[in-house]
Formats: sequence, C-alpha cells, structure tokens
Amino acid sequence: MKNFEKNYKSTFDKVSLSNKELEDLQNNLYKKQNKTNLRCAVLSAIILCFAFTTVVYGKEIVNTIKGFILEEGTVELPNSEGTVIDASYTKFTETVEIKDDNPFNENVDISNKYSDIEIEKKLGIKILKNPYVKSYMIDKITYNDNKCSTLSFKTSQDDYYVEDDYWYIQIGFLFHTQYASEKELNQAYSFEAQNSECSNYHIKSLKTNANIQTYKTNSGMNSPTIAEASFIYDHIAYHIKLMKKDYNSKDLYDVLESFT
Amino acid sequence: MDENFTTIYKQLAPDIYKLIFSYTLNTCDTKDILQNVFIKYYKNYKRYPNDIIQIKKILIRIASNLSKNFLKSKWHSKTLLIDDVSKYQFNDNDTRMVAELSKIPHQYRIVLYLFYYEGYKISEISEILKMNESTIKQRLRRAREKLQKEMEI
Repeated sequence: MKNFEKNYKSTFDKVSLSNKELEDLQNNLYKKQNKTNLRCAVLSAIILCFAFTTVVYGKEIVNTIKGFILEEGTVELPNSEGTVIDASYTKFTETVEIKDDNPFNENVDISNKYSDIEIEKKLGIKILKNPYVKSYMIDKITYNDNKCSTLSFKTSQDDYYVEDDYWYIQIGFLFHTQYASEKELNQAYSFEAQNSECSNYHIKSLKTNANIQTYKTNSGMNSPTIAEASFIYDHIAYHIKLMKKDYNSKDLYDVLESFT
Repeated sequence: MDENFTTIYKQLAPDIYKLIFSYTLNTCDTKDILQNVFIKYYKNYKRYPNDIIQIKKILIRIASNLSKNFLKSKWHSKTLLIDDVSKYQFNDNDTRMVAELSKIPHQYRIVLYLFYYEGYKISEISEILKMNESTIKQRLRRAREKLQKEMEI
C-alpha cells in the first residue's frame, strides 16, 4: 500500500493550476460576485421604486391618521371616528425603533398587542391577514413636525417560536402618512444580510412578487437558516422573517401564500 | 473582494482544486466548481473563524458538497479525457492511476484524497465531511480493495 500512496501523491502533485489560471479564475470570481451584487442592488432598487410609487396612494389610504398627541406615557392614534389605541411610551420625541434582540429598549416600554382586525378598525386601513400571526405590536413611529409620518407594526417574538425546531416567524408591515418626508418615502424594509442569496417569488394568492434573501445565522453546519421576504401590497410594505433549522424554501412560500 | 479573501484564495485554491479534481477527474468541471466554492465561501466568509486550518476544512466541505451535486445533476463522461489532463505531464503510472480512480465511486475518492494526499486522520475526515468514522473507514477499505485488485498493490 505504501507504493500506492507514493504513486497517488505523485499523481496529485502534478494536478495543479498555473499562476495564470489562478489569476484568471480570481478575475472571474470578481466578475461573478459583482454581477450578484448588482442583481441584489437592482432588486433592492426595484423595491425602493415601488415604495416611491406608492407615495400618492399611500397618502390617500392612510390619511385617516390625523396625527399624534405627544404625551409622555401615551400616544393616541385617532382615526376619523376618534377612537384610540393605547400604547405606552416613556419617550417618543424621536424615531423609536424596536430591535429584534431588545424589544424593550431603554426608552420604550411596549406592552400592548393588537390583532389585525383591531388595527384595521382603529386606523381605518385594510391589511393582509396571516394565520401565523396572533397579534402585532407597534414597531416604529416616525414623526415630522410632531405628526406621524411612518408607522410600522410587527409580531412579537414570542408569538410563534418552537424551541426544539428553532422555528420562528416574524411578520411586519409598514406604511407612510401624508406627513412622510421624501427620504422616508424612499425607504422600504432593508434586508439584514448584504451578501446573501437573492431571489424572487410570485405569490399566487396575492398576484404579486416578493423579494427573498436567505442566509445562515452562523458558519456551523447545523445553524438555522434565516429567510426574509418583502413585498408591497395595496400600498403597504410587508416583511416576513423566518428562522428555521431544517429550512426549505417551501416553508417561506407557505407563509407567503397564507396571506389573504 | 478584500485583501483577506484574496490571500485565502491564493493560499488554498490550489489544494481545493486538487480535491475537486479527485472527484471530477476533469479539468474544466473542476475549474467551474472551484469558482463556485469560493463564491459560496465569499458570501459568508466574514462569519467564519480567522484560522487558515479551519477555513481549509470549511472549503473542503463546500467543495465536497458542490462536487457531489455536480456529479448528481450532470451526466459526465466516464471516459478519461486524455487531452484534458495532458497539461499535467502525466506519465504512464499517473494516467493509469487516474483511469483506475475513475472506476471507483466518487464518494470513495474524496476519502482517499483526504487520507492519502492531505494526510488527515479518520477522525478529522469524519469531522470535515460530517460523517461517522465507521463510514469513512468502510469507504477507505472498499476503495483500497477495488484499487488493489486493479493495480495489484
């Protein structure tokens, strides 16, 4: 067997790339990676364009939100009927963003959750329903001149989490009011990972396309996969984030097709 | 692509090339797969540990998976393309070695390569390929049996 080992090594010692081949392959790598980056950038730009084109309709749909009363401790979201949602904040004179890993940051204490029907009634808007969602909480409120310009909701982290399977879904939606700035209007949900795989999926139930990115949480072979999807429907931007250990793209497609 | 990635590429691409060749026994396909390995690696490389030994193991695993997928998805000629490998200046022994390797299942070839060429232990191969040690031993034994018969080793 030692003879075999010697011959084997001798054969594979000769299997090599020349310096030129190494360099050519490296250049091809750059080109391919630039194409992938360009494709993701184009997809992101398309999403942004959609967000921008929803400006006019966004203003019409959500002008039922007349404004906020800034009080320490409460915010009112009145609709045309004058009803309010209770949401307690200790401070909201600036944009308040809830981070995934810290849903209750030092400035905010969100304890109220709302069903989709409640949100629709209170705000006078129509949102998509999804059976994976039990309730939403307010995620972000942005102000211009003390008037609500952007409002987003997302599901609580605990709403759908199965520890053994590492199965977690988060769904959110965002819309702008007539007070939104140009900069806000050009913002849609951005994906967390920059160098992840981008793809498109046509949601048959909604007859609209979703932009999808998937990536692993870390380098381990058994680490869960995170899949994010964004789409715009009826002038509202939706974002889905799914984390699953044995992820299959069908898992995300099932969630997307469940919207009604 | 940054300097760190380029350094890793220049250092490890030749080894990963040999590994993929041990699967495909074909230069063109090997180059294609090699590119895909590094593209896949590049997408997540900042998450990986900054240790060349660990990085090599990760690249071996990626290369192994991509090579397997390639061999499953594409019909590939079982005939050795003499013109394809002539650039390596093989002698008769080398040509015969490659010809005999082409007759054994590709999943045996990777184990042979990692054991005999890279010098990894069974336990290390098991860790890299995420397979049981007994599976690795079995594949190594079967590869040796087949080659022994053909090459009278």
